[in-house]
Amino acid sequence: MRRLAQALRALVLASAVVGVLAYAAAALLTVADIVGRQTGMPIPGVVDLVQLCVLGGAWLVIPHAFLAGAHVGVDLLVESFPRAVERPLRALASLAAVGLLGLMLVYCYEAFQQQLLYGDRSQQLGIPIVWYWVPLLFGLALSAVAAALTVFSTPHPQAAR
Amino acid sequence: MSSALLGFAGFVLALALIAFGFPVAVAMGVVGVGGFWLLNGWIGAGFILGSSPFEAIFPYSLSVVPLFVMMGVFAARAGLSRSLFDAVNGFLGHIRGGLAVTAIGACALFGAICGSSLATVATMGRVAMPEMKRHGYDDALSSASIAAGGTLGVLIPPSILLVIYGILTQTSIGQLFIGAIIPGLLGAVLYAVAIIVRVRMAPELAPPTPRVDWATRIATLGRVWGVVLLFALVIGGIYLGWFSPTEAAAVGAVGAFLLAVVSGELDRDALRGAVLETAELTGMIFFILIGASLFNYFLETTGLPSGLIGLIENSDLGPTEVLVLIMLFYVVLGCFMDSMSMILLTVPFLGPVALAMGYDMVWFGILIVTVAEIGLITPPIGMNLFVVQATQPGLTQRTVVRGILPFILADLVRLVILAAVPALALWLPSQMF
Repeated sequence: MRRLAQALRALVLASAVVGVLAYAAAALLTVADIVGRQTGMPIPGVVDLVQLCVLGGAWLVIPHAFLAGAHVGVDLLVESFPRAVERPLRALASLAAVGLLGLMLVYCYEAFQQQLLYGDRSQQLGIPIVWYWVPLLFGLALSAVAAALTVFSTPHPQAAR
Repeated sequence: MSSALLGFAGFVLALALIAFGFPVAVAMGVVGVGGFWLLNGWIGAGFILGSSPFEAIFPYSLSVVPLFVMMGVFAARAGLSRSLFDAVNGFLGHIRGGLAVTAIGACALFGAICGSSLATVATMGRVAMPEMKRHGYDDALSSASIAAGGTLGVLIPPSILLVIYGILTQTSIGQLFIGAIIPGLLGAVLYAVAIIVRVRMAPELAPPTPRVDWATRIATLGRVWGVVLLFALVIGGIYLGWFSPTEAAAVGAVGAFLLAVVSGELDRDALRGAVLETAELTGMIFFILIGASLFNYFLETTGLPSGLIGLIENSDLGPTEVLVLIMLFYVVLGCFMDSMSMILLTVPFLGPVALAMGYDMVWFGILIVTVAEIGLITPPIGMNLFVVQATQPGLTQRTVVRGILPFILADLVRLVILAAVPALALWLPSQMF
C-alpha cells in the first residue's frame, strides 16, 4: 500500500513537471511568434497552440497543488480546535474535494465522449478539441487520487517537494 | 425560500465551510454544485460539472496567469533582492528612517517583477531585516515596513489579482495594469511618509546611517539594470501597444528565466524549486477559478446580483454611499480572508452592482485590489505579518502587529484619495496607444 502511495506521489510530481514544461512551451511559442512577426515568419495558429499548452499544463499541475496543500484556505479557526476535532475536519475537507473531483470526472468524461462524437476542431489549426480534453481527464483523475492521499495526512508543501 | 435568499445562504455557507478549513476552491465548488442542483436538478448540475473544468481554463486571456507566475518565480530566484536593496539604499538610506524607506522601495521594485506579496516579504525580509537590526532599528518598525512593502507588488503591475478581476468582469487587463501604476507608486510614497512621520515622533526607532558616495551608488545601480529593463519592457510594451498582456507575460517569463541563469543563482535545486512553486501556484489559481466558475453559475441562477442591485436602487443610497459600504465590507472581510479568494467570491455579485452604479470598472478594480492589499497586513490573518515573522527567529507576532498601524492608516488614506480622485487610476490608461 505504501509503495502504491509512493508511486502515485511520483506520478503527481512527474505530471507537475510536464505541466510546467507545457507552460514554458507556451512562453517560447509566444516569444517566437513576436520575433517571427517582425521578420515576416509568424508562428501559424499560435493562439491554438498556447491554449493547448496552458490548458494541458494547468490540468497536469493541479494534482500537485492538492498533494502539496497549496490550495488557499483559512486555518485560523481550525487550528484553534483540539487535534481530535481538527483532523476529522481536515479529512472531511479532503473527502469533499475527492467527491467534487470525482463528479467532475464523471461528467467531463461524458462531455469528452460528446466531443468525440461531434468532432469539433480548434479555429486556427483545426486541432481536434478532444486533444484538449485528454490532459483534463488525466489531471482530474490524478487530482482525485492526490486529494484522496491527503485524507489521512495533512498535506505540506515542503513534504511534497 | 426565494432564489436570491438561497444565493445569500450559499454565500454564507461557503464562508462557513472556508472557516472550517475547506480549501476556498472546494468550498465554492461544493456550494455551487449543491445550490445549482437544488435550483435546476441533477441534469443542470451535471452540465456545469462537465463544462466548468474546461470553460474556466480555456480562454486565451488566461494564458497570462501561468506566464506571469513563472516570471515572478524565476525573478525571485535570480538573487535580485540584495542588489535592489543596495541600489535603493544608496539614494534613500541616509535619511532618518531611510533603511525602512529603502525596504519599502526595494519591496515595490521586487514586487513589481515578482507579483507575489508573500515571496516579496519572505525574500526582502531576509535581506532588509538583518540590515536594519545591524543599524539599531526598532524591530516593530523594521518588520512592519517589510510586511507593508510586500503588499505593493499586489497592485503594481503585473498583478495576478488584476488579471483575475479583469477576467471576471471582462475589463481590459492592459488598462488595469497601466491604471495601477500611479496608485501603486502612491502607496509606496504614503508608506515612506508614514515611516518618516513615525520616526520624527520617536527618533530612537531609527538611528541615523551614513550617506553612500556617488561611486557606490552608480555601482549598485549597475547591478539592477537587468530587472529594470525587464520591467520596462513588459509594462512599457503593454503601454506602447507593442504586446498584448499575454505576449508581455511570455516575454517576462523568458526574460526572468534568462536573468536567473545569468545571475548564476539557478542551480539544480533552485530550478527544481522554481518548477514546483510554479506548479503549486498555478494549480491553486486554476482550481480556484474552476471553483469560482461553479459558484458563479449558482449565483447567477439565484438572481442575487440583480436582487442586490434592485435593493440598492430602491434605497436612498447614492453611488458614493454604496462605494463606502462596499469598501467597508472588503476591509472587514480582508481581516479574515485571503485576497484572491475574497475577490473571486465577491466580484461576481458586486461587479454587477458597480456597473449598475456607473463606476468605471478599471477604477473599481484598482480600488478593490487596494483593499485586498490592506487585508494582507491586518490582524488576525494578515498573511504578510506571519511571513515576515517567519523570516526572523525570535520575532514575535505582537512586535510585528505593534508596528503595522501607521501603514494601515497610510493604506486607508490612499483608498480615500483613490476613491475621491478616480483620475489617478484612469489618466494613464486614457493615454495608452
